[in-house]
Amino acid sequence: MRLRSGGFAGAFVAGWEFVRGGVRWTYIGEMLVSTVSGSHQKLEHVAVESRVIPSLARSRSTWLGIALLALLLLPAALFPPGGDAALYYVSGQKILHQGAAHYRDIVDVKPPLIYHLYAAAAAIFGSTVWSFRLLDYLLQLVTALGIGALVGRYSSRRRGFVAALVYVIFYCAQSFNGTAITESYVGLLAIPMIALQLRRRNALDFIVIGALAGLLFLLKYSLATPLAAAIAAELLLFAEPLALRLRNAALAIGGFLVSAAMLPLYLAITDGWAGFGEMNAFIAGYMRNQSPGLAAAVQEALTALPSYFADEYSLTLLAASVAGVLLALRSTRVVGERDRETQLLGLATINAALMIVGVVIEQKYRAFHLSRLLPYAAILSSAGLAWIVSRVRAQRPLGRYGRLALMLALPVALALSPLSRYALHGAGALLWVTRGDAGFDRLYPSTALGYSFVDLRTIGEHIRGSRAPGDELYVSGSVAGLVHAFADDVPASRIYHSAFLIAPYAPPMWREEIRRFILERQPRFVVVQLRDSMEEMTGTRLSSEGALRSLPGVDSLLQWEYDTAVTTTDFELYERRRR
Amino acid sequence: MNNGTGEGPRTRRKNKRGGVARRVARRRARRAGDRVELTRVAWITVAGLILLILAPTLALPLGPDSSMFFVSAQKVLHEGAVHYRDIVDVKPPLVYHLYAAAMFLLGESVIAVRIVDLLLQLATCALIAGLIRRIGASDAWAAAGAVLYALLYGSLGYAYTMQVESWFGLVLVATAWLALVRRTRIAFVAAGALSGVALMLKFPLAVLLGSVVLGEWLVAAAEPRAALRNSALAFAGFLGVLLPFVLYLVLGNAVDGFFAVGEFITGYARTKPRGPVALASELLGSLPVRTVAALGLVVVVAIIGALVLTVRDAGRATRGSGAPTPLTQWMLLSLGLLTASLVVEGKYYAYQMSRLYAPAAIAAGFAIVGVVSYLWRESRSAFVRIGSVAVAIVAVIFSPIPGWLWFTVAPATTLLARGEAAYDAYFDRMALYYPRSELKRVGAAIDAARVPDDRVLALSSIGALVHYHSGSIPDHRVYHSAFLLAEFAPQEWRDEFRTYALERHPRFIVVQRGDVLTELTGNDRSSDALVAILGIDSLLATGYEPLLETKRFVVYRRMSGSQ
Repeated sequence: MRLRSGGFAGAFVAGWEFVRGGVRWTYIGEMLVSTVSGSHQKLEHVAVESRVIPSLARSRSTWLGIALLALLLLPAALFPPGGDAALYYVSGQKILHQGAAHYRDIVDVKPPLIYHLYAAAAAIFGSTVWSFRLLDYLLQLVTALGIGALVGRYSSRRRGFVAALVYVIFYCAQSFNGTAITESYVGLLAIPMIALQLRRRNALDFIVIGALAGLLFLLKYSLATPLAAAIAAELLLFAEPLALRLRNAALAIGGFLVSAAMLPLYLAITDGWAGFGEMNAFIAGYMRNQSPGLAAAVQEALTALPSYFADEYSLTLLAASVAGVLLALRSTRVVGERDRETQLLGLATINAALMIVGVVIEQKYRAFHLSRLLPYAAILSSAGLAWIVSRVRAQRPLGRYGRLALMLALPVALALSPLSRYALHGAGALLWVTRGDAGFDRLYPSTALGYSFVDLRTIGEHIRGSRAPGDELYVSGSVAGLVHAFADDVPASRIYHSAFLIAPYAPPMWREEIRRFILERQPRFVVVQLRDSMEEMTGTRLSSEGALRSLPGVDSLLQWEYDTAVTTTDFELYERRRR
Repeated sequence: MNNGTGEGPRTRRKNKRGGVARRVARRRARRAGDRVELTRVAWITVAGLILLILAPTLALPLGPDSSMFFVSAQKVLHEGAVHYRDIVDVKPPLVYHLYAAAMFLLGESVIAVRIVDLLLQLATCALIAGLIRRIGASDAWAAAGAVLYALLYGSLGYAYTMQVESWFGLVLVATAWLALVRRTRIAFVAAGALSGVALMLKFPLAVLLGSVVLGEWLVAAAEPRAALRNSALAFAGFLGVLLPFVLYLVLGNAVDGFFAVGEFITGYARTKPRGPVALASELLGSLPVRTVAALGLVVVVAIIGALVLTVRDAGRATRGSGAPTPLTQWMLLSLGLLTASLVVEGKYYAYQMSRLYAPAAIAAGFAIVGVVSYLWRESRSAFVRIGSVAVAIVAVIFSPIPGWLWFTVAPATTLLARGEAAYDAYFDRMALYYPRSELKRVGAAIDAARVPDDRVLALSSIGALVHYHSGSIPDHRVYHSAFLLAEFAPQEWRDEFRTYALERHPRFIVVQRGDVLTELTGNDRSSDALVAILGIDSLLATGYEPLLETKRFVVYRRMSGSQ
């Protein structure tokens, strides 16, 4: 079969070959890479070679593996919306239905890409909260397959499958709140970067590497570290002439700049510079609030990182990852010809290290902030696990002590792996689907979350049931996105996270804008969250309710013009009296 | 028994005499790159380093627990007190008598106990190094294990050192020596007796006997008959220590007190959340995080690495293609049993975790030396060299070193460089519910106003510290408010305390505020609630006047004429 069409057509043909003849597991990565880089000849090679290996059994096991991964990833599709995801969802709705532009019509700290991704999800799958879960599910499956293909190519199919499995389990173990967020898409962009750097290494590839890093930058500024990792790896891991490696690094930087230039372009086209400036003022204040001094920052890092690695990351995965890092630190026997698998591990190590540095600079150590490590953790830990298993297997029979130690250590290792969190959060997804909000709330009590899904549903149903066309809703809450989502509402105002109201370093015009919105537009519904102190974000203990009522005129307006329609443990819904 | 090198004691002695042969062997070993034999100068350097690590503990003050032991030991020395009869506390008697012995030998001061503690820790380090050299046959591992132990202990700081667990390491390593090296009948009796000593330090530490017995079956892989005999001998030794304990209780007329403490411990155990969900959440949540906090991320990862290497080596030895690692096997077994004892206790403070330090240092040292030698071998490319440096930096950051610097070196150097006021200010920041400077003010106020024979009664969770700072020795037996606040505490303790206050009218009554110890008492009351609970409010109102009031303490003085 000749391939004459473009990149995506080539990918389609290769995909067809894969379906027909049973392409090698490891070629999935090549297909993805070739699609990204637009190299048709490579695809042809893949497609042709795939026919040369018509291993039915292998094809069957590949399909079984993919099916298993897809099945295990299901919780990611079934999770209810989390706080941040709901914010992106609502913003995506604004983009889709109001033609909103980030910074101009949406106030939030992330760069524009994530909101447009959510808008795309809604455009493809419809304006429901399931839309982004479905897109996330597909993207995570692609990421897992990419990881599997990459690892499989440079070590073995089985190891590739383990890496993909680790990724899927670890991803779902992030819970409903830690999935479908900006960090979730690091793997989707970073894995092709690694693949391109290892495999092809032509000029265009390095531009694409930089461009992908630019896209990561457009997801979240601090996620751009893979560019630095790619440059460091180029200088440290590869044996080509220095001039060539410097050229590659320069090309990657060029690609990054081209990609990152989309931000100023976006701002210029959408007239978002003013909003961008306001957000930068907020971020600067936030950073000042986050920096209680070097000693405190060091102390926090020394406490928070071990705690994360012992708990959410899990000791089992940590030990396997450390083994993977040590395997990356191997010297080749022949100078100038490095073992590709070691290079892959080296790249993953450098990337993971720089990602951790990014987190330390950000000084935010919640599990979802560190979930950016997932793809690298999957690569490193699968190598480490394989090494451990092979070392132990090679020494069989193990003797009395070895057998007993293994019998005891295996269940402990499984219990102290992301599997236990996967089981917990997987059960959450199952409860959400089968028993609804009440079932889900039992697993995640509102005392821990600061809200309950039963409350959100009650408020949402009341709003949906009693609103007339043109009625507006204003929410002052740390989970305002969720309230809007449950009320099927697209916010009319551009500020719908109360941190932008509460934080003393938020631009004063934002508070004034909210005040004027409420006083002048007098939205039909106002929802306030009662006990959602966000000291870490805002630097004060003021709740969303307190912050809203502190705006001149708002408290009296609520008192004289509104009735309390619904009161729950964590929310109050005010409804404007009919005039 | 195979000591892992195929080299028996006799050969070692021969080598010692044959200096040339030793030098040749050392040179060969160096060339091979996998065995580093340390010179005498290197060993002196290691010893100096260990001393440097541990010496700052001499400058640390008493903590809440060590002050309990200290004041109780004063009671033993001055009043001939017997534990359980005259002292109410949950630990078995040994620790109070150890403190008493230290104070008897070196004087009644904190430094006396600190010196004894330092000597015992140095002995533990020496024994760790000796044991590893003897069985593991690696100087690098021996040095790493000893230094790591010193760092782990040094990272505990003032409140968590000089605890019962602090001396368990010495007992454990000595037991390992007897069970793995000596292996005579008497050695097994002694190993059992040392397990009994561990029991006398703290009841859950008796799991050490499990290490001896299981070690015989799993590590030494002795013939079933021999293993059975050795286990029986260890049991005999263990029971041999229990007998003096029973005699102590009977002759000291402390049986009732022992059962009263037993009743308190039972009630305390009932306050812990039970059931599979609570256990699972504890095992999956608290235990890994607390273990990492107490041992350091690097040590925990190294222990896991040691487990992998040990299982691998166990397989090699079975196939006759390599040496077994009985020492790591035994230490990992002990780590497992001691972790189980922690879960049974259900408390994961760093000092409770410190029972793991000796076996953890030995096991982790094994893996760390392995990793260092691996990186050394591989360090031929720039990436590996840079990566190795980065790994070393990360390892240091997440090792016990920052804890040692922060909790031990910082106060010691503050005292030396900036004097006592800065030192007190340092501990004011460290202590959560009793600023040291306040406590010293309380002590100084009482000390200035009291005459000999004036009694002090403290309603405080750090009652012993109040007594220590005021220079008084309690003549009542309850001086920790948890034994009065907890609803499950025997009523007789509250009655006795109340009677003491109402009948003896102590000259000073100190009441602490805001010291809620829910984990100990099962409720959220602080010590000042005892004034009402015990019904001594009217006594304070009519017969006492406030002498000093600080944020956390009120010191009442009996009014003159009121007796």
